[in-house]
Amino acid sequence: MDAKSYQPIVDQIAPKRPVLKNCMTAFLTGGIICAIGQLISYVYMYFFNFTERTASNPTVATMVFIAMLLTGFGLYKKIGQFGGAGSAVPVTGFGNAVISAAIEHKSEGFILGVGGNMFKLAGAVIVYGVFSAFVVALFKTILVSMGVLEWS
Amino acid sequence: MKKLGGLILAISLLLSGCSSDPQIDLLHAKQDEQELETLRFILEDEEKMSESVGVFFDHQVIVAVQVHPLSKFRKEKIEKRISDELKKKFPNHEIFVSSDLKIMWELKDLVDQHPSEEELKKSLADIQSLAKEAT
Repeated sequence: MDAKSYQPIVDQIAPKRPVLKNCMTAFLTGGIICAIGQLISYVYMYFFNFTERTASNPTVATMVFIAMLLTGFGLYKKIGQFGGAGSAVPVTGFGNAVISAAIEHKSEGFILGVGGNMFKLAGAVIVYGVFSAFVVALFKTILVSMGVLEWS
Repeated sequence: MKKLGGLILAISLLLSGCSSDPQIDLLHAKQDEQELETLRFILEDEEKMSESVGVFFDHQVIVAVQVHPLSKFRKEKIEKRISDELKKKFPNHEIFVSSDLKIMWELKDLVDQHPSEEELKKSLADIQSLAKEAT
């Protein structure tokens, strides 16, 4: 049996992927996470001196912190199983990626294990985030100095 | 049947958020009715807006607006449009327009409190420093 005739048999036997259901659960999970984030940003605006624009920084930090705690207690795993990408795409997925890698490699020691592997997945996010922010800022600086745009 | 009922409920809740008339709260330190009417007229004219607060104090006009959810992407343009129109109507006033929710809350609190002139001055300075991210 070659690979060509093998694939149709796999397609026949393998259970069908519930794409629509997965999309719905991802949408729901992501939506609920974002609604909680919105609530936290309202709390920062209502009880502290944050405006809509500045409240986003502490909100992101809080959401990441909550996700890290949930990962540590083993609850984020369950959310991830239910919501799939809905739990990975919001910023909480970032916290989960850091802490789960740290927990996984703890047995290899704190330096080479936890320290070396903690940012295995999240490191790429940080590197590309910082780099793209740098490129965008560079472009904006050039455009502002040419008089095309304004700082606002 | 149950599903249909849920759907109708969800859609009606979704739409009811858009149907209310804009609410406008105004305060003038010197009780100049004519200036208040001009400001009310400008704000009522803006149809993308759901709520607004305006305060006149010592040659300053401070306005906070909230736009409909679907217009949030054009928030800055609406802000600028109102600001330009106010500048035309009140040429000897300092104009400050914000679409930030926090500024809206603070200004609304201020209007509801009916503050004295001294309090008004201090609160407005605080609100403006908030907008400049100076806190």
